[in-house]
Amino acid sequence: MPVFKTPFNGYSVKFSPFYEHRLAVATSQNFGILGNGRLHVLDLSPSPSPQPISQLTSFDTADGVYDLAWSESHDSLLVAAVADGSVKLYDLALPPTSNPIRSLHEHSREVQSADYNPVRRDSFLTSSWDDTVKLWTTDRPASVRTFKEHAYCVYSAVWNPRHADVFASASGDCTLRVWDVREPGSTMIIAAHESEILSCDWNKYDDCSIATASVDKSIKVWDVRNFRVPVSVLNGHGYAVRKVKFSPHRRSLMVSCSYDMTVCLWDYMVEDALVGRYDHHTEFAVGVDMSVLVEGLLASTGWDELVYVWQHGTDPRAP
Amino acid sequence: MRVDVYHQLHQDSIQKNDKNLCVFCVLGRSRRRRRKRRERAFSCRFAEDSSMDSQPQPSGNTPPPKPWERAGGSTGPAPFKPPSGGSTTDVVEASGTAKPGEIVSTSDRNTAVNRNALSRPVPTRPWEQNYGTANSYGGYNSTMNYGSGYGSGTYGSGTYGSGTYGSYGGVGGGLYGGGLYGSNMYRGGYGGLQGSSGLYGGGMYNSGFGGPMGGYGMGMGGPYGDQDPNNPYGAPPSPPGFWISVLRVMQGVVNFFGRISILIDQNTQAFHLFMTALLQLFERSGLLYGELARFVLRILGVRTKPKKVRPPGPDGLPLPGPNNQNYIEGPKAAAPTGSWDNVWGNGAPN
Repeated sequence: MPVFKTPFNGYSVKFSPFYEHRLAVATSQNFGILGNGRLHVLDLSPSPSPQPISQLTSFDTADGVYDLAWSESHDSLLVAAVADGSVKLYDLALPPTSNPIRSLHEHSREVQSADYNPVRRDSFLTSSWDDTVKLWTTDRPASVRTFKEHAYCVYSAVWNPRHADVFASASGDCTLRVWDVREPGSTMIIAAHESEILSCDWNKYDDCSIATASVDKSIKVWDVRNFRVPVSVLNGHGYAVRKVKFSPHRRSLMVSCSYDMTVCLWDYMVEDALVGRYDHHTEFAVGVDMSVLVEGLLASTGWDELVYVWQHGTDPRAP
Repeated sequence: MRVDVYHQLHQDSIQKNDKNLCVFCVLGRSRRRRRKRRERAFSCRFAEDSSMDSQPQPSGNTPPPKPWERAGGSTGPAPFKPPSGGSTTDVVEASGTAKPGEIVSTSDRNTAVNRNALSRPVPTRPWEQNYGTANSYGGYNSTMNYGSGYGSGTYGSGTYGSGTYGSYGGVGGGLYGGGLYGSNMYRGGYGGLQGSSGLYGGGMYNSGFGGPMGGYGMGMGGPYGDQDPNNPYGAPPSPPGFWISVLRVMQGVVNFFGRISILIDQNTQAFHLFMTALLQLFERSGLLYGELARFVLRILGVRTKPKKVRPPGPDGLPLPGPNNQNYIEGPKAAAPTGSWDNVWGNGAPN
């Protein structure tokens, strides 16, 4: 299956919600510690060809790109979370010289995640190491609101896929918080792990179910109506779990990637929850995504500077 | 940015976008809303003329339906307030919680910590660790951003004439010299900070100064080389732990280069002269001590044999650094391919 080599270390990969053959990759030089960044937009060729993945375009940044989000309202719009604290908007329809179309400087430290509202489609969230989450709309040159309650870096902020006003944030202060943009403070505080929480994601088929991934190597699934105990605890990763994502197609299926360099698939409703493990990366696997438009299509990236796209059940390294 | 800049953005977006749509104006996906939007000629604040003839695209701004939208709802009543109508901006403003463009300062953040419901201790932030001397280096702390801080603060300002890339050269030379890119990144990788020519200094970005500066990085990785801070197979692996260790090493690099940066900020030529003088001093003293040692040994009746000529480094250039004793103790003529002058970089002009 297709492999793409990026010049910098991969940090995040996401499929386009508009085109099944398109995905974007956020990369940072020197493992994101120091140096430049680049945002790649890649196209998969529909039929077998010598070059299964081709680059549509790429954008350079002066600092590492940690995350990206495809716009849900416009097929060519991309949001990039940049390590210098800026949030940049790119329009693929414009030449690289006209990009970024906007650079928003409000976060005082590295921006770790970006997520576009899939319900109302006019806003997006960014979370940062300055402990805040910011809400932005595409028609405003400044953030609409800032959510500051976390006591440590916020590694991830994700919209609820069914409620336009609800989102969750995962932080290094070991809490998961659920927010409503109409409320002044968080509506729920879940002390989900004993270690830092690096990622969270909502179940697309159950708006009360949310998964958290932590440095303690575990993934936990929570029900926000009763968050005293987790619904499920998934162990199997050898090191910190960097990202977790619910399947857009199956209710109980999840994918995760970890510093143990593997990408794992989980079904949290069955006894043997670990249903797949891929060890194709030779460095930390830090970005993973599941295609919304093609069931079973996975993409992953890592510090080995490779982007893999493969169908679940096949070997990502197979030519 | 000024309003006219936004207006220009709006115009550009419409003109250059083959879908004839300003990306700033896109609001929703429902037909009703689209019609409504057309009626009010967009809420795009960048549109100077309200009769802007942007036409929404039939497919360009609505992704295919999500698989879960076709499925049923949740397993029970959700503890969320029912959704509000209107755009996100309207909803937030109606709730009275909007605070446009708020920038959170450090003091604000501390308040946030105080009203935190949980009293769990949080790890120290990598960039807030106090290493005793940290505050004396403006180039590092004043920018509060070690990423671009090197570019804009300490080494930038056009000193190397090549903008961003040149500016990374100096630091990169020290930090990445050998170690990080060595064969084993995880175990003792940072020991590689001791000497060796820098990755970027080696001409990757044509930063002539990178090489020698990398050479002067020797010893800084020393205290940390043994601790193996970046070993994810040991104690609980966590990104902050990793960052802390990285920054700890970088602090050492910055401590050193921060001093030299005073000269850089002043004058490139001054820096060049400083480094040249330093090198010459080492060379002369090296010669001196070499002669002295030989003299003493000769007095003691020990015959010194001429040392084996060490092979040249990559690209035929002499290797800088402490391992290459040939240059310190031997005469200049013994250098395989040249004198110290060439150490300034791979063919970079002096």
